[in-house]
Amino acid sequence: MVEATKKIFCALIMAVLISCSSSTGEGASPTSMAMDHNDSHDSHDSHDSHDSHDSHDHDHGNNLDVSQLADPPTVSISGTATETGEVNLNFAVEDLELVPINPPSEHELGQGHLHLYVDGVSVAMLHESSYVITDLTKGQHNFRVAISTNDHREYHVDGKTISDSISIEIKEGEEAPEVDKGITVEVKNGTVVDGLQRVTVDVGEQVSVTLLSDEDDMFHLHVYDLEVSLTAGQPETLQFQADIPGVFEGELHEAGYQILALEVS
Amino acid sequence: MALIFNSLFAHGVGGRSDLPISEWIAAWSGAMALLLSFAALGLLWHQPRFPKLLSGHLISKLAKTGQVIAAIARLVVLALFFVVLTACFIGPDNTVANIAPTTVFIIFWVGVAIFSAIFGPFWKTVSPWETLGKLVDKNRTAATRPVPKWLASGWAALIPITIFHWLELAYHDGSSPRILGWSILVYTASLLAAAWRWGWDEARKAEGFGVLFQLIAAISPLFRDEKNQLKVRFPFVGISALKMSGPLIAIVLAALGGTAFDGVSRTGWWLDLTVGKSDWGLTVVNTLGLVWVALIIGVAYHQASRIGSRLTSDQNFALIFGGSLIPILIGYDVAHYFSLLILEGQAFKILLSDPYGQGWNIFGTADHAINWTVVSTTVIGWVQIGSIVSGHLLGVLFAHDRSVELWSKRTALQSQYPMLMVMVIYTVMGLVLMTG
Repeated sequence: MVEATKKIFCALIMAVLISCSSSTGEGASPTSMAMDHNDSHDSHDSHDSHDSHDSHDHDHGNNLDVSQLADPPTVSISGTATETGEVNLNFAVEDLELVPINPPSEHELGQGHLHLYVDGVSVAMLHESSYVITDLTKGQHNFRVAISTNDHREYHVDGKTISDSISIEIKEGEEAPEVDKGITVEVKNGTVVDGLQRVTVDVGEQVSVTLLSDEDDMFHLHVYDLEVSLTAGQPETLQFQADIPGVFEGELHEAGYQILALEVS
Repeated sequence: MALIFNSLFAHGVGGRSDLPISEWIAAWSGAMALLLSFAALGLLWHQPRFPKLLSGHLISKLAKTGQVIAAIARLVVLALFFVVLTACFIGPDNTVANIAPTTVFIIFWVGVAIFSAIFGPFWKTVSPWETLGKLVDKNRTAATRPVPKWLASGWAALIPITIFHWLELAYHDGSSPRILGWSILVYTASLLAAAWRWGWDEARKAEGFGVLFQLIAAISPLFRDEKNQLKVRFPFVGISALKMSGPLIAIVLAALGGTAFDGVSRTGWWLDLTVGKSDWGLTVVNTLGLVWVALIIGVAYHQASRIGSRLTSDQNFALIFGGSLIPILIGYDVAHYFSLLILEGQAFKILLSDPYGQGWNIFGTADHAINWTVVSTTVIGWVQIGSIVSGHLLGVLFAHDRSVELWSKRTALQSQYPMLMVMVIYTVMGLVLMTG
């Protein structure tokens, strides 16, 4: 009697378990994904994320609001493609004294340095007014410069980082690696159009993420530490190699919510 | 990259989760766990074995050297406590750049729990609250007063555990260093005030983390006997020596509920529910979710205990089997947080070189980077499955051992049906969350 009850019990539990785990397995697979495999486009940014992983450790602090200043500092960026895969960048800074970041110094109003991002990846902290980027691949690249305090907080005016960006096309250079997976995310009316996507890619694949928002914001992909500032209504593209396995959150900083789950396996 | 991360973390720290485990692995291991536990239950285990294994073998008498090491460790932990507490206020106001969130959510909450399970009750020796509480005790002049019931009964320990989970998992700004700093400050001050009024031996009952880690330490193979000698025994048998009480079970269930909700909040289903929500809107939804998951966990145990009480006509059913929740909790903990500890946990070593964000490099590790590939995702997947399954297995084993100790063969077997039901609910939940 006891034996029989035990057997029935066991079978029931097994059925419950197996059905549960298999149904969730199906549920986990991404369903509605807006992907476009646009290999033919040659206007893709590219950057090997390997180079930049180590450059983030000094990025401390949040920001310093200087909206109340009569003459808040400003920065503008200009640049030209010089040789094969090379860009010469110039920065015009006003109302700010650029000081070296080494040795590290306390914040002093009116002093600071520049943070430079190439295709969403932080590449340098500078106190010079020009910089040369080499080894760029063929195609369109985005360069952004922001003003930072001596203790690495960004200067803000009216809630926005004081920064400037420029897009430059490289005509001669190595071919950009082909995109294996293109992802498009659109944010509208304070939510993600068609819901939050969970996109699966293989380790080592070239991924391109195109973002479009109806409000100015900053997109950040965790762990890969890619970030790109978004202007309302203007699509921005990030391209990188998916070399770290896991599930990663892509978030909007101003809005404060997640808009993408990238699964690398 | 000066960013404002603070409002972004719904899970304390981290922006990475693990890969979902393939469905067949989950199904296979779930079935395996049940087969094994049934085999162990019915066929082999007619005599209680755990109590006989309790005494253990002597390793060290822990004389002078032990005390010196303990004193040094206490000082190091106390120093770290003050560094982290001050960094909360004067360090960078940024979740990832400040040392406090990583230390509190990963090194303390996950690390100390898992290390307690491996190395035993070490936290009681080094805990900064123990050190400070004893210091207050020594200088105390207040007259002994009657201890209020909420403190003496042990229920007060549930307060810090509950608030901690809410900050970590529900409150939208809970991982902000400043908020953490105030929380630690208020908690420490309340404990020390209680110690001043009623003595540390009573105030300790409200130190929920210490209470929880002490429970978890019972599954470690290492322990100290009443003569303070270091001994070794079979892992997990220590839980049969625990005297469980209502508040202790509630604390374990709360921790279990929190961990389960952390899993729920990372599922695609939950993300769809919260997409577009931020600030207090997010906090409200997360709070409801946290309470809901904790209730499922709690009610499952409570109902099983009621059925069990009826079957065995023993009113103390819930207390008798409370210990079986501890290996389950550790299983959940390892499954959810093991990768957080060894991946995101590496940030601790980096931040320790520059705890105040001043550009220091005390230990030469400030410019290190986290190695995200130190364990493969396959290993993480297997550890997750293995820990959930073996946690429940050990829970079932312990419960069975208890039942044959207390009752006749027939009653013992009957008493295990409700327990098994709870285990099944928890296992299914655990595996579903890991695969979802």
